[in-house]
Amino acid sequence: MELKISKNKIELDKKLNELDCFVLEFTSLLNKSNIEYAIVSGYVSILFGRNRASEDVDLIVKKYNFKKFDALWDKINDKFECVNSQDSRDAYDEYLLNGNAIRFSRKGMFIPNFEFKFPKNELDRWTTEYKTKVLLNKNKLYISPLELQIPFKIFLGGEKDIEDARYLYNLFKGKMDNELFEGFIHRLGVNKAFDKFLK
Amino acid sequence: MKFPKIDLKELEKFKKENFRERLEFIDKYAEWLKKTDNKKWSRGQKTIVDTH
Repeated sequence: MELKISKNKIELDKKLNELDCFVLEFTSLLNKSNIEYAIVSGYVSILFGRNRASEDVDLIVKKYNFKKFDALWDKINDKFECVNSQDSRDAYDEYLLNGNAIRFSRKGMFIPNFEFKFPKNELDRWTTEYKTKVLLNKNKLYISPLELQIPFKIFLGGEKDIEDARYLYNLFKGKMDNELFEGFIHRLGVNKAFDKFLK
Repeated sequence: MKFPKIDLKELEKFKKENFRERLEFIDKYAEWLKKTDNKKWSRGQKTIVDTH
């Protein structure tokens, strides 16, 4: 695999699959609207070549006021729709501000979808602030820093999560900020699981 | 780069909440699928399954 990795940026060229196209279509709307976000889900490992399916793509989006969200909603609604609510005010007040996610799929479809949520804690806010830029076939998207993504997947602890963590670690070990990576391993309390499953 | 404050109890709560949301989503999806014609729902499935 050829990857160009520099500080907070990864460049990758590959044959795009249908999920990649879905992701690029949606994230281009976020980029055009100057929305800060980071993809945090299993899609990160699929992006970098892991062979598995995913029904949803998890997204942490910086908290914006309703006006900005509403403008984004209008742009998104040309091709996508929210499966939770048909009304932007309801989606914002009842879901996002209450710490719940909303999901956007292509019109008339249910899957795949984007799970869109505001940061719930310091870790989420850190993720959107220190996100990693990926240039996928020169298209820009943002993901959670791998130094956090891998330890957090270990923390989640499901079989699929551990497999994703192990896959990403195999690809990126020696190419990450080791101090940051080890810091998150320690702070998330996953040292033993890291030794057991990834080393 | 400064590390964020990490509250492990809060994250454990998040993990449970996330799982609950996943189950809810599965229920909603199954309900949607039951009332949607095969041609339509299988288009969404194709996007996912043909990915790998």
